[in-house]
Amino acid sequence: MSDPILQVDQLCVDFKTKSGPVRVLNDVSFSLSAGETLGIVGESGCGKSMTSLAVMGLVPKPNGKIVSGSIYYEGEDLVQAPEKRMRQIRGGDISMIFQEPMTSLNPVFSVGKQIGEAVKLHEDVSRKEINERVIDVLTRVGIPDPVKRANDFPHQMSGGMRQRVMIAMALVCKPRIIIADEPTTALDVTVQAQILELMLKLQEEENTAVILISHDMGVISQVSDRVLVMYAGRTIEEGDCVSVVQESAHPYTKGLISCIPDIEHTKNMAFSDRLPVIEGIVPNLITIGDGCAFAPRCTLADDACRNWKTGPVQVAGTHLASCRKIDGSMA
Amino acid sequence: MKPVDTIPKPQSPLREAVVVFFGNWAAAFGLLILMIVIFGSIFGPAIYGVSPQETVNAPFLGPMVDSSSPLGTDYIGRDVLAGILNGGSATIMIGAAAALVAVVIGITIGSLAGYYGGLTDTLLMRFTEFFQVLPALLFVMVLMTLFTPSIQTTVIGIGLVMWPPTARLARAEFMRLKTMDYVRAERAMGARDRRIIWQVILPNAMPPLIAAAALVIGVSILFEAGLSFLGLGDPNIRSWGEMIGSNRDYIFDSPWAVFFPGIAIFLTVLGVSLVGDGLNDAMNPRFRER
Repeated sequence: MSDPILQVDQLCVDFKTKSGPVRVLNDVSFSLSAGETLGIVGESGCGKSMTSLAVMGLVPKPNGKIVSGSIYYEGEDLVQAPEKRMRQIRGGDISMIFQEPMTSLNPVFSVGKQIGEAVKLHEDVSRKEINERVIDVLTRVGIPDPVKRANDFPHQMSGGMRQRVMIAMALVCKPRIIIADEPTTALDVTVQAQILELMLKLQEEENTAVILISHDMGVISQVSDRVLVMYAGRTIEEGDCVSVVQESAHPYTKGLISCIPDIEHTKNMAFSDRLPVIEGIVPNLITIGDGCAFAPRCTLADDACRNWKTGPVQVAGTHLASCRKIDGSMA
Repeated sequence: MKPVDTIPKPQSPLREAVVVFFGNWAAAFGLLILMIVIFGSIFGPAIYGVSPQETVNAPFLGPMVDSSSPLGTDYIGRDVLAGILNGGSATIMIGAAAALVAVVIGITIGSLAGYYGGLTDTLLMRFTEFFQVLPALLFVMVLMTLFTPSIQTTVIGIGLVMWPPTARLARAEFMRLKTMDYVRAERAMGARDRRIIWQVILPNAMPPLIAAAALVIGVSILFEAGLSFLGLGDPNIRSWGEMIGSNRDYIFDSPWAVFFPGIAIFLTVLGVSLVGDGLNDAMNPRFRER
């Protein structure tokens, strides 16, 4: 594997609440190489989006704060970087695609103008050149008749079209890393596939690294090279996509995978056991202890699990999982 | 099935608003009144050609008595119609300029308070409340007596008492809009606060602000009339309020000299309010059904 362009080390983010600080990200570490797709998967509130916001330097102020850890982008620590430098990086080197294409575009400007503004923020180019770039990028994301559509307003486009525009906006400054925060969650299943395919195609063309955030294990497993599973602000399993999906070590990951609806399986099963669920809910981050965060919901857990100081355990090669029950961690 | 080319052309939000505006008869009527008032004030004096300041006829001449003074004359024989035609520009200009001052101050303070929140918001809002609790008329009266009454002092005085409601409206809009996804997306694209405030949020906050500004114009015109009525306007400039004020002692001898300027003020403010209401409806997405 080549040198990573993004290296996140033991990142901890705290949120101030009325009942004291809450650790929403706990010792999150991962790395990302050029051209690679990293999938981050987990339930709502597990810290997926917070991780991406931390990388962008957009942890909500004044309540959120990065308390320790570092984020190295090509050797530069973004946690220490001044706001001015961060503005250059945002959109220029690292850009983001949001979940809600319906509301992520400014309703009062035409899409062409909005994409053009993104260029203007980072590069000093003439109007003519901006226009060419806008048309070019709209063509690349597969918008038919881009010259005409550039003058359309967001409300004149469908969800899939808008998400294409969002991708165009993220791509137009040729970033090294794209963070896609649930890019397909709000879309129809048929459109989802198109958008994912488009992202992969564009990623190959520019050798861009992609962080794909989703709660949909199915989406993640289809497009990522490596997968990071998060739970309650911690990474609980990490490894290349195939081994995480096929030989998942952590009971939570196994649970997530068994929750994927499978039409073949549904065809011949009883009504009563249609879909397995993981019982319980994500623990309250305020009352969570040092032990394994998943223990209360885990069918394998015993008392020792609740006090076990979590840490990555090697499953095989680069495949890590933080579960006490994995062979080798019992000792 | 219809052929493809009859699908209505996609409309910009602005054009859509124009269609809704003219579909509202009250708004269209208000605009018509305003047009008449504005054209009358611009071209009326030249067409009518009678000086508003000089005695041109016998005093206390009733309307329709002498064909050379169709609306009569006041207590020193000044032509009432000439006064109305000439006074309009001062009244409207002062009203509009004062509203502009109020809206600029209001939007600046309101948007900064709403966007930054926290301590900035607290300080700016206490400052706004300070102006809000001042008795408006008294404050402007003090200003006018301290400084020489002129168009500038009138405009600034009215502007200073009119901005708090605009500031509060702008603040509310900014607090709502700053959490929108497209504002987050803009920040993720590397935009600075200045750009987000003026070029991203403000254009989205404009519709209610424009409607509010139109109403501020109406109230400012009334305020100017009130000041002139109290004799606190610039005595060298004929305005509708000044006409009413200078003739109020003779209200029983020549009621027309008070009545006609009053009607002019009433119609203008009505026109401005109807237009403001129409703008509010036209630019409010809730009313843009269909």
